[in-house]
Amino acid sequence: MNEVTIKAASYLTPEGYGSSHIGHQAWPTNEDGSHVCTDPMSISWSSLFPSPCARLGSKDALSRLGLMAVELLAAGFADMTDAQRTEVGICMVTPTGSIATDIQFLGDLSPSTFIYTLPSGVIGEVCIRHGLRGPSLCLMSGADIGRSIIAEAAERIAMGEAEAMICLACEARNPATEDILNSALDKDSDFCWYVNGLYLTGKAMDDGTGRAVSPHMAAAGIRRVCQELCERE
Amino acid sequence: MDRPVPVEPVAVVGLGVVSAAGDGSAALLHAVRTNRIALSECERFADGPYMTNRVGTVPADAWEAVVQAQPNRAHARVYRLASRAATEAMQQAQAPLASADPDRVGLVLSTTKADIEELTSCVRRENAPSIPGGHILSARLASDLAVEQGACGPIQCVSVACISGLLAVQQGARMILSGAADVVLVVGVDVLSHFVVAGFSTLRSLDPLGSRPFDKARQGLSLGEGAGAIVLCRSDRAATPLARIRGWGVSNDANHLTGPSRDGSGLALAIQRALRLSGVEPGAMDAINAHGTGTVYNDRMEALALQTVFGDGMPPVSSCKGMIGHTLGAAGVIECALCILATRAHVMPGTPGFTDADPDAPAHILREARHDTAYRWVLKTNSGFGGTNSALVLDMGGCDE
Repeated sequence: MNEVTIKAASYLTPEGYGSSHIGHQAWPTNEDGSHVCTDPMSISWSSLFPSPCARLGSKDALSRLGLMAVELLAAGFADMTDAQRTEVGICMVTPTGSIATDIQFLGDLSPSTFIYTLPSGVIGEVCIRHGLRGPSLCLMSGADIGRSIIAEAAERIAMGEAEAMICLACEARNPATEDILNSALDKDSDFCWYVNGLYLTGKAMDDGTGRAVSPHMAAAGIRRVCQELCERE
Repeated sequence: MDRPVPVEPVAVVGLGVVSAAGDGSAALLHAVRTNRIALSECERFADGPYMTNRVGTVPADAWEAVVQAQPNRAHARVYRLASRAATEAMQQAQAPLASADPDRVGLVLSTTKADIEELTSCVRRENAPSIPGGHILSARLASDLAVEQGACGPIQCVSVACISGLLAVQQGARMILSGAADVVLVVGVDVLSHFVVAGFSTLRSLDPLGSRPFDKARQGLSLGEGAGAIVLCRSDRAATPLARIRGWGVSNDANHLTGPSRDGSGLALAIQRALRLSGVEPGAMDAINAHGTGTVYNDRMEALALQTVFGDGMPPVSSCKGMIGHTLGAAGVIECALCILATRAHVMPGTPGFTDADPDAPAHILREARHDTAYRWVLKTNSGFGGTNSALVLDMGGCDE
């Protein structure tokens, strides 16, 4: 595992957003004086990022969150060539995946909704935006009951299947989803929506910055590692 | 990029299948031998927002056998199908399982929509207070299957569109190779539902006459349902493996969310990665079981990808989507099982529904199943929404029946 380095971390939650580069940022103040963002669809892309995102309005909440988390990491791979991007993949975990969009499709039966009824749509959107063509994986899990998603990504680098990997933990529940799922929900989470991102590289792309992935880190949940990295750096 | 670390072969020691071809692996093999089209008009989808009701549904007699084996009415169709296939596979794998610590028996589930019928009924009842089985959540379906099958080790649930099944097999092999588990049960399952048939109808991607992969008159895919199960273990635990997994590759087109890449480069990349990881040259490949959905663009993309990798040395290519339909999250597992069953029986599968080759089709499509003894390396490919592609190399050397 010591040949794999975490170069950047990012997150968006109802409390705010941040990354290992910019630190924590609170959402703008609401009328009631709070900074809580209850609806990820209300987050304005242009208020966070200088370069536009094509057809953002057509995308579901899960894809928006994934795109935003990766955009916050993107400083880490901005200078990458197309050839290098071919060797960058994505490992993602999500507890309830696209259920919010599934419910929407049952109401509108629209093809533009149906195409977002797969959680791995996030991976497709991120790959299209950043030209990434490496291996991908999407696991449905509330907690890491198999192996952690960090370990999955690190293994792909260590085995030579990818030179760099993005890790995402992504959830986009809304009040309708909560009502429907009720007792089946993952209650480990305090939030109905969140996204955490990590950017991992192997030897070939390591410039000596970042933190080596330790066995402890590989076994940990992505949220804890993100928190640690964003607080430290 | 450095050459990837070659993977140790992982043994396949159990198979189970329920599909439109019937209940059990033997039913699927019989359909392969006879090149039978098992698609039919399903009453459930006769009226409604559907392009067609011609689908690959599990036939009534097979369903009856599934219900007899799993009589608990609390379990939905998706659970019963998965349970049936898993049980068949675990029974075949008794020898390696006998010496395995249950805490080191893992499970990987592949599904795209899990119990989507349950979500549909909850939504129609307008916010029902709770979920009876909770199998709307794939992870819960995986956990319950693991408990039923005595798999107390690591559990994963894969959902990457139509490559989910092949990825699940790879994840199972990774669990073995990383030492996280000694034996892994891989299950792929998806059921026909209002949600899925209506969804593909809105995309206008179904063929009312049934899927005709690589045919010049093809109009789209046929949806199917079913479950496949494969038990994996370390090669040194398997005295008589059914097959060996030698390598895999995954890629993304980075091109379009629903449309396949127009040049096939993404799938070619996945195949090249699989060949590199397995250490097999393209010229050594004996057979290819393609994704072959029957949609105009998918089949054209696949033909270009295969041409890029294999050129004039194209091995025989087949697709089973015209036989049992596209079973989505189950497809990769069922189709791997089909490849293994056929190869062990010295049968090279045909392509039900295929009649006249499209000018863009791969050079060597097998229309009918044929007897073939000299047959070792098999490539299985799948592609899906989100631009995902995957390939798996099976080594059938010394694995004859």
